[in-house]
Order: sequence, then C-alpha cells, then structure tokens
Amino acid sequence: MALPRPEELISDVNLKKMPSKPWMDTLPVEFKPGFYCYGAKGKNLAYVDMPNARDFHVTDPDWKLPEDWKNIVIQGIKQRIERFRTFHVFMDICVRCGACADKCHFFIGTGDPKNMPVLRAELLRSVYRKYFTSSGKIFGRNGGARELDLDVLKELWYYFYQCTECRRCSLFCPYGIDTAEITIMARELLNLLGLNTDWISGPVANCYRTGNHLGIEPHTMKSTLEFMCNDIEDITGIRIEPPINKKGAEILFVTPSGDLFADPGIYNCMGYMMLFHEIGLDYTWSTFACEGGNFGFFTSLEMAKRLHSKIYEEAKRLKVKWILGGECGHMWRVWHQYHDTWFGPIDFLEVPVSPITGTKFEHAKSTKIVHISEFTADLIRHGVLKFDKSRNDNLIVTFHDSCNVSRGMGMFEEPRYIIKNVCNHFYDMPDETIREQTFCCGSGSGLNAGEIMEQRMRGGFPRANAVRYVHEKFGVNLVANICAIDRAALPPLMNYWVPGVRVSGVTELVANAMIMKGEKEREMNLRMEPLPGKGGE
Amino acid sequence: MDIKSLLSKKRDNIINEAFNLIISTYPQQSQIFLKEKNRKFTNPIGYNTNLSVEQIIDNIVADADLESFLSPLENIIQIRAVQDFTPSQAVGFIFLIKKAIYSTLHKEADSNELMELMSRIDSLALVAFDIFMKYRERLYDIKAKELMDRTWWLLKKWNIVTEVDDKILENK
Repeated sequence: MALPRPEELISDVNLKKMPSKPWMDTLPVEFKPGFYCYGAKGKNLAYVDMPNARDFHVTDPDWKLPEDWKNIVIQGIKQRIERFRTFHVFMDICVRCGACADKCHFFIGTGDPKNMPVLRAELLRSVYRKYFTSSGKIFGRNGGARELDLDVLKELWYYFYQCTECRRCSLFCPYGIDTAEITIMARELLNLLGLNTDWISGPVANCYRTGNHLGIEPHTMKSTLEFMCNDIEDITGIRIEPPINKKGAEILFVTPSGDLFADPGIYNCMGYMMLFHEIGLDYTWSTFACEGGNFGFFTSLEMAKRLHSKIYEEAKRLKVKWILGGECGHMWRVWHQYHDTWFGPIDFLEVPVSPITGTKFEHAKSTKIVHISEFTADLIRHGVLKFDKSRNDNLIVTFHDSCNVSRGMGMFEEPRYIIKNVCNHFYDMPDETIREQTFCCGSGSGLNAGEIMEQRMRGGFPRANAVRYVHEKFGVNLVANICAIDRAALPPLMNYWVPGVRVSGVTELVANAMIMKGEKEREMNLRMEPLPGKGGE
Repeated sequence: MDIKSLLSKKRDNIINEAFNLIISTYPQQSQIFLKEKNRKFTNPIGYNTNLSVEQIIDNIVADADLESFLSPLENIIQIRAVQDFTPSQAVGFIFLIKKAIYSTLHKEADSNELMELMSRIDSLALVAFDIFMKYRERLYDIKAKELMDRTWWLLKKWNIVTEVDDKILENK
C-alpha cells in the first residue's frame, strides 16, 4: 500500500472528521482532553440536593442517568417554556439569519460550526420542535426536529458547556434573542440529570457551606485580610484593622473570593482596604456573605437564588444601610437582572448615598448596591483622593470590558475614568472589541477549569488578538479589568498569546497611585516590586 | 523564465491558493467566514493565517534566510496548537503551501529548479514541529503556573513554605 501524500494526510483526516454532511449527522461527539470539563462529583451535588448525585466521568460510555432521563428532560423543557415566556419565544422565533453566527469568541477561535450561537441553540431547538411543535412532530427531521437520545444529550452537554453566557451574540440578534438565556436553560435541564461540571458544582457546594466558592472558613478569611494588612503596612507604613462582621456599619462590602486568595486579585483586595481606610469609610466585611460571585447562576436559577440570599440576609442581620460591591463579573449580572425578581424591592436598606461626597446613587434605588468603580469614580470626580500618577508610570494600560459588567449592566466609562486619573498611559483596544462589543476572556460561566486550557486559549483568542495589537502598537503591558474571573483567566491567556502583558484589577492601580495621609515614602507597589524611579523601570 | 521570476509573477495566485487550502482544513460550514481575511479583529484566524502565508511566500520569493520565516510560522502554529488538530495536522499546512506552489508553477518551471525549491520548503516542516512543541510546552507551563498562582501565596502566608528574605541578604 502506498503512503499517502502529506496533504492527503492533513486534509483527508479533517474532511472525514468534519464532513460537509448536515449537522445532525455528525454525532457522536468525541470527548478529547483539553476540550471538556471534568464531570461533577457526587458529594458536591448531594450537598446541595441536586438530583442524580453520583460521580460522573465524561468519557465513560455510561453516564449513570436515571432510567426515565428522557422524560425528565422533556418535562423539564415543558416546565420552562410555561414558566419563562422568553425561553418559549426564543425557541420559536429564530429565523436563522446568521447575524449571530460569527460573533461568538468560541466560534471565531475554533471554527467549529456548532459554536455558532445559532447552531448551538439549534441543538436544543431541534429537540424542542420534536416534542412541542406540530411541524416537528409531523415533519420530523424535515421540520428541523430530532429525537432526544443519548448521543444528542452528550452533544448538548458538550456544547452548552462551551458557551460563557457572555451575550455578545445577543447584541447582534435582530429579534433580541438572548442566546445566553438558552444556555442557562439548557444547563438547568442537564442539571436535572446531575450533569454538571466539577469546576461549577464544587464551588457551588463550597459556597453553600462556607459562603464562598473556595471554601474559606471565617477564621481563615480574617487571617488572610490581616496578612494583607501586614503587607500594606510594609508598603505604606500605615496599619489598617479590617472591620469584620461589624454590626451597625453603614456599608456591607462584598467582593468575589478570588480577591481574597488568588494572584493578582489579592492586590486588588489590598487596594479596597487602603481606599476605605483613606476615606474613613464606615464599612464591614462579612465572613458569611463572603462571596460576590455566584456559581449557582451556572447551575439553575433556584441555586443562584439560594446562594445569593446570604448577601441579602447578612445585610439585614448587620443592619447596614446599603451594599458596596467589589470588582466582579457575574455578581453584577445576578444583582441587576435577577435580584429584584427574587427579593426586590428591598425594604430594609436605604438608597445608597456616598458618606464622603453626598452623591445619591439613584440608579441603585431598587437594588441598593453600588459598584466599587461607580463609588471610586465619584470620589475622584469630587477631588477627594490625591494621586501620584507617576507611581504607575511603568504601566502602559488597556482596559478589558468584562462581559457581565459592560453588556450586563452598561458600565463602560467609570473604570476608564478611574484609570485615566491614576495612570499616565492608557490606550483602548479597537472599537469592535471593547465596550458593548467586548470579547469574552473565554473562561466565564464556570469554564475557568485547568483541564480545558486549550479551549480557554482559543476561546480567548479574539480578546488576546486585540491586546496583542495594542501591545505591539503602543507597548501596552497591562490589561486592567473589573472581574475576578478575568483576573484569573487573563494571565494564562496573556502568557500564551502575548507574553509580557500582565493583568490587574482597577482598584490595585488606584491604591498604588493614591497618596495616603501619614504614609511613608513609598518604595514598592502593592506587589512589592520597586516603583518606577525607586529601582523599578 | 527562471523560478524566482515565476514565483514573483505568480505570488498572488500562490498566496490565494495556499490560504484557501489551509482554511480548507477547518470545517466546511465555517470556511466562508474564515476566508474573510480582512477582518483583523473579528476574524483573527483568517486574518493572521492570510498575513502569515503572505509573509512566508514573500520570504520564499526573496530567498530569505530561515530566521525570517519563524515569525509567520509561529503566528499560524500558535493558533493551530490549541485547536482541534492532531500535531501532524497542526504543522502539516507547510505541505499545503508546497502544494500551492507546485500546482501553480509546475507547468512553467524547470523541474530541477522546482524540485530544489520543494526540498528547501521541507525544512520549514521541521522548524514547524519545533514551534509546535514550543507552544504545547508553553501551554503545560501555563497550567502548572496557574496552579502555583492559586496556591503558592497561601502556602507562604501560612508559613508552610518560606523563601530567603531580601532583608536577610542585605544584612549578610
């Protein structure tokens, strides 16, 4: 037998794997390392009373499903189309115009057609049509419908855990279909069968037990904050005592637990404490409401509500007036889009007023929570803070709009305003990659797991490609952002695509530049690296 | 006409052919999108692949040294190293570039000259393998570093591990 020509080896293999046959005929999905998250552990599902709790291995042929699993999914769809008008409408009205097709970072970075938002949604729509529409029942496949079987279920699992719910596609849909909501529903359906991922279900169970995703217990949280204060004292000469569980404080501060433990979030956390100390804010941390993020949101709306309730309850218990939220992504989506439906309007908190500037945050009249960037921008606008911008002169900064904060709540200008006030060198990325059109980091909605590094790298490629442009054109060496997932996801992404570009939160930059009353001459930044002119570049 | 002049004359044809062949290694339904090569920020696969193919062909035309091929090769392989390709598929696009050159030139070029050129391009396949490994190794380094970033700080803070203190060194 003759050897194949090299080009035959390359293209034939691919043509066999990715043929031009209709998408319904390309099953089963092949699970390859680097492409899928590990399955949920039974103990984590059982701890929060999720159905079908058992250890689940994605590559095992047997997913240990309940006997009537098909009926559970079909009934699950029925309940959801009755309960959520949006979901019902989104299942019916797509005309497959393709406006969303090339907007998804996973499609752009992989070229896999099933990552086109329209086709990803079609994976579920085809099942919906089969069981809930006359055309689907009568015409079957010709009506775009297909039976739900095990291969289809595995395909749903594979692709709905390849969507970060970033909603970039929704921005371009002429009908306003929110494809992220379709992903949310699909994941709810999968969770009815215990089909979650380890990286989501673990944090959910932890959060239910300890109040945060990482499983940090109260004494550890307290020590961690104190450790940070030791570093702050070394850097500034100022001793800060962090207020914890302080009843009657004016403000409850809630931030994602990533800021308490992970590099570079910890520097942001130091920044929060320095800022609050400098302005003499009457606030408190809580060891109960110690997580702004909410992985329940990637599981089911009930689970999201269950985890979110701790913030609400803690605000009541501590008798604070309002809540200040740290730099987080989906925390803000949950607050702005779901909180009021679950709990609102809150009747025991006050409309937030900055005790320093007197600004009344009217837009937070209902939720009673203010974003740290809104709060800081207001302080700067009123000239409350003094800065030595030259301390950040070694940084050439760009800003990555986090999907949930930009598209989810419409915040574009505040973080940029802050950065420009504390840094001398700021350059935005190209327009089609920022603000409402921002590209996702590629790791949101519970996809920041180490085992899918390849998937994260290609999903984040459009974002990294834009960073590379400003890196090459302006020498950008720092991507600032206001999301804990970004702070965790962007460093590896930069290390792969644009080495030499680092990542930080915005408050870290503020605290570096902020001149604090009574501080010693600063030699180091919050990372304990020499400042420019003090041995640094 | 010697092969160098032929290469210059048919440059655009070769680039188009090579680009189309490389894009054809992606799923068919995505190829129309990926071929929109001018969308620098909204189609980075297509844009970067095309740009790099242009640079590779221009380098071949200019008879440039191996060093100058590294950057465009890296640009393509960095992408393909994290996509749904086997290692041979990730680096095998070199043979598609060869195919494009051969099919465009074989009727007019002197066969000895063409053979010589084809043989030289094979060296790019060897270099491509080195680059592929560089990016795969970088990926595994990143995985390891991510774990370190998530835990090292904790170990230090709880005095489970300690490092040599700068102050101690200064006083030594």
